[in-house]
Amino acid sequence: MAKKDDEKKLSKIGGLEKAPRVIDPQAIKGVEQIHATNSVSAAQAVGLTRKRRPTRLMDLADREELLKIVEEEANKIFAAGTFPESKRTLVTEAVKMALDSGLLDETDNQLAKDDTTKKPKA
Amino acid sequence: MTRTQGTESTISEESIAMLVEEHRGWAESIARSVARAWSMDWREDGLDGAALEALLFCARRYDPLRGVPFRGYARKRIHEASSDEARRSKSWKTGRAGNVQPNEKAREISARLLDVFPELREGQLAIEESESTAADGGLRGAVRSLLVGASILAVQSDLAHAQPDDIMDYKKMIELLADLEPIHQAIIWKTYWEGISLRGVADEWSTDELNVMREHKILVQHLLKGMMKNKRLEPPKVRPGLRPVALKNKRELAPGQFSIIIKGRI
Repeated sequence: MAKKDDEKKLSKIGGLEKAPRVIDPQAIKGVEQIHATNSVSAAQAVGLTRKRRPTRLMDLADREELLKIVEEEANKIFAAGTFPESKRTLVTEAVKMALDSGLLDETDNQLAKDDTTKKPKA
Repeated sequence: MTRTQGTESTISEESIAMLVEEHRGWAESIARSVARAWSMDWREDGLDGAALEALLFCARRYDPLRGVPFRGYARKRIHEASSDEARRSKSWKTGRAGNVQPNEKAREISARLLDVFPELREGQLAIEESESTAADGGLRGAVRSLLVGASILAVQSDLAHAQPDDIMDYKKMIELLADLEPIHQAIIWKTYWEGISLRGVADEWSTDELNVMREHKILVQHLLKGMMKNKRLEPPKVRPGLRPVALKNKRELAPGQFSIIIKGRI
């Protein structure tokens, strides 16, 4: 916010004082050689750079717990009878398979986790 | 997965070979996971070859200058290749002698579920932000979304060939869907009936994919509530991001595919 003019006014002009010693500036360095620029990566489509949702990485160690949770949640969802009883097993099994297909064994997944933090070599 | 002929690689052939050698075991583990989920043999059903081919494809296209770790870049593609090969194999439909086969329909639905929730291919679960601080880290909420998605796919799978009596089994689900706004019905129809990805739907409507993804998330939550309470609820309003699309396409989208099904069959 701009100061009011009154605040900027000097109350008085002081006497001449000895100018403070100028500290020698650092020696001007020579102009550095201009290095070749790297290629500019292509602009990403809108949305790709934004995180869609938080995600949780799973591995084989989570398998038993996950499959148990699928059964428990299916029981809760289908308890009210909105979905035909005969199809519930079908749906539950499908979800288990889809989840299972992405579960790597711990060693491979740990390597995958490490890899996501490792900067690639050019 | 198509391979572009004559694609120029950004890294040397030697680096490509090193990438393949370094990540070969990891790619094979992806193929093994897919085979395990679907009770198949990763070698005999050709998943090993598909995974390695995808690994080589990714190694040739990998650009380290983009700052994305190789496995983060390649994992989804290798999983897609493995699962596509699995679906082409003989044992997908006929089964393997001596083995107990999982329900063929369940397998088909799970394969399609991977297209609707592609983060599963990377071993990830999309967590609801509101549930991320829950004791289980939002795990149960994510599983519920998958169960709703699989339920919708099961409805689609059966409706295509169902007799009128069978359709009555799904009356409540179809009523829940028919109560939705036309554009919401369109999102469900395009994604689950026509197999278009959420990004594909966004492209079709020339809108940001996040608009469609957020809308889809809300729809899944709404359907979940309806299924758990077994009653018809006030349908969600169209979010501001998608309202221009809803208005622009009002004529084409109304009255909604599920509204038509309800009027015609039930």
